[in-house]
Amino acid sequence: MSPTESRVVLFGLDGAGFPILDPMLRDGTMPNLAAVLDAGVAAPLRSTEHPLSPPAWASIMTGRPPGEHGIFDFVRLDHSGGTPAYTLISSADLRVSTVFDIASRHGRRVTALNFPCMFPPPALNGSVVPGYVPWSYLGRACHPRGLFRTLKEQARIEPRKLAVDWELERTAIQGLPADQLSRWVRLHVEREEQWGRILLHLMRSEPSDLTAVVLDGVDRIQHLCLHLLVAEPEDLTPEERDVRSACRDYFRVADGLLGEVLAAAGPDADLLVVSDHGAQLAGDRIFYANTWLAQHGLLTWHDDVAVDDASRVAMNGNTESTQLFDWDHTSAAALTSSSNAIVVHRATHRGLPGVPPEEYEAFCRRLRDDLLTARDPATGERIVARVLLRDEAFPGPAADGAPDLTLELRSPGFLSVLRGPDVMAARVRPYGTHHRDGVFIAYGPGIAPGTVLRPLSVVDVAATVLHLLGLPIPAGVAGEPAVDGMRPAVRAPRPDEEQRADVFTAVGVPPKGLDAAGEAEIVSRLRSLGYLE
Amino acid sequence: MTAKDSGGVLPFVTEILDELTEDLDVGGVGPEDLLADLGLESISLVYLIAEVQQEFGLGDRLLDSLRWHPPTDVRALTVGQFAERTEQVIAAPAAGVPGRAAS
Repeated sequence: MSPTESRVVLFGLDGAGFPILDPMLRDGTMPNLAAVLDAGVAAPLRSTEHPLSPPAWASIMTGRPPGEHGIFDFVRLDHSGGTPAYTLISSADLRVSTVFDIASRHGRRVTALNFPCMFPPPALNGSVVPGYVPWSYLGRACHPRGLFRTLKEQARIEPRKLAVDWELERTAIQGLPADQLSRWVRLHVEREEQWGRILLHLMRSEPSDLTAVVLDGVDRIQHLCLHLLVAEPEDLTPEERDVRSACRDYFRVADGLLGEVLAAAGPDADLLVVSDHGAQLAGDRIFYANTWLAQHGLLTWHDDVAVDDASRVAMNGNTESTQLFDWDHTSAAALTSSSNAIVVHRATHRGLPGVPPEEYEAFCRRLRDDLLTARDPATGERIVARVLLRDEAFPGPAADGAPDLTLELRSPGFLSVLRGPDVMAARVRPYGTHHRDGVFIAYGPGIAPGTVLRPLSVVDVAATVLHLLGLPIPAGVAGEPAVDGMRPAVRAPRPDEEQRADVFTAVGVPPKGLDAAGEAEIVSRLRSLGYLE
Repeated sequence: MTAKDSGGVLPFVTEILDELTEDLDVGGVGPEDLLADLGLESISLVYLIAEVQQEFGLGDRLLDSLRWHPPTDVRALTVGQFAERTEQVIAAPAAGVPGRAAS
């Protein structure tokens, strides 16, 4: 097979880790993935320093860490107005080329479905249906124009089922009662079936050299149901067993789609199954970071901000977290739950509220030291396991847009941005959170079955895709192709690396469409994912 | 053809809304129609704002205007009012207004 004839399918399972998949691989729930594993190679895939979907998928797409690609969260921080603010990320915020861009530039056809940071859609040589777009805007969000109509007419997609039920998600962020979990899971089964229709329709009608899709139901389900998936069935109530069964039905559907994709791709395509991060049970304590900051004199709440008594990490409704604080008397605040980060209020001029530039580094170091000594008042245990300063967590030319301090909590989970009754509170419902170890599975004619892979990172995926496609890897790509899992003939170096200076050339020349958003409704959409406040 | 070429904000906004509502049994979209009555998810109006900002090179200015000057429930605007508000932002001096560079 000539490298130029090679094709790749990138099958994304958002939030999947081997601890979730392994039992279902063993018991026959996921026979197609099990067969792929038997005939392929696998390794844990290390996520970004803070494992979160937008930065991690962006790293998978670009082969670069967040400090280079510029995506750190669901939102983009903006310090230009004198107080920290945020707006929704868009494709314009991606500062480097994606594998889709690169393959397109080399004349290869691509299909990219349900990836974050893809709205407005780049003008690729192929098809794009971005992720995180509401159903009623999908008609304007797809590339090429007209694709949406085609998908409705020929693939019989139902946009309302394809997109997320945001009202339900808004509720679900705080956890759902057991009697609502089955519906939650079924909703995501329906969504994946819709994405499957799109995927298979495009694979059959307009086959691409690089076909990529993200199934994001895995993460949404694990957030609310991981405790049921990892439990022994005999330890569950009948109602919980029903939910667990529904969850496994979800994975059965995802696996069935994988089987259809393999059939549609044919024997000469290589398959990569990857996730942006894994999952783990959240700890039983929630950290109210802004309450801690207030107790340390670094943050002042507006008088009318109510105390949360429900162990929530985010507000219901549309209020932005930036409106909770008296910024004239606030030096630092956690703005989004998703980032597990604290943002410093940077004074734009001497004498104005905030931390002056000359004090910034010392301020951050002092805050880090204080956080590392913080103790849970109820248990006496440390609250924060690790604090990474901006340039430690996200080194690179785009670091200025990164949060200033990123926390790794001892009790795993996302912090709360709300005004808590104390700095810590008990979690009221079991919850799944992110883990840095996702999955990498490769299978196909270019893959040497059974070989042991070196530890892989999300930045290695793009290089692997490009290598399998026989395309040069741009010089700035940080990752390396997983050649140790490839057959000798495929391991051979590809064409010379391009010496393109494409890093940051995207700044200022975004694709047509969104360049800034993040108003209340859009924020509530992110909030409904369980991350943002 | 850009919105500027086609004669202003209203035709551009109407074209978008016509496209988005073609399956929603609302008939054609006119300037008197309330944005809230078009059958769109309210979140889609944020995408509309973003697309209009991008088209006219407004950075975040339209968003900021609707947020603060004065705070406005976009859903309560008619299509025509939304277009007028946009034109006001276009006409207003941009100096000192934070936002990304126009593309």
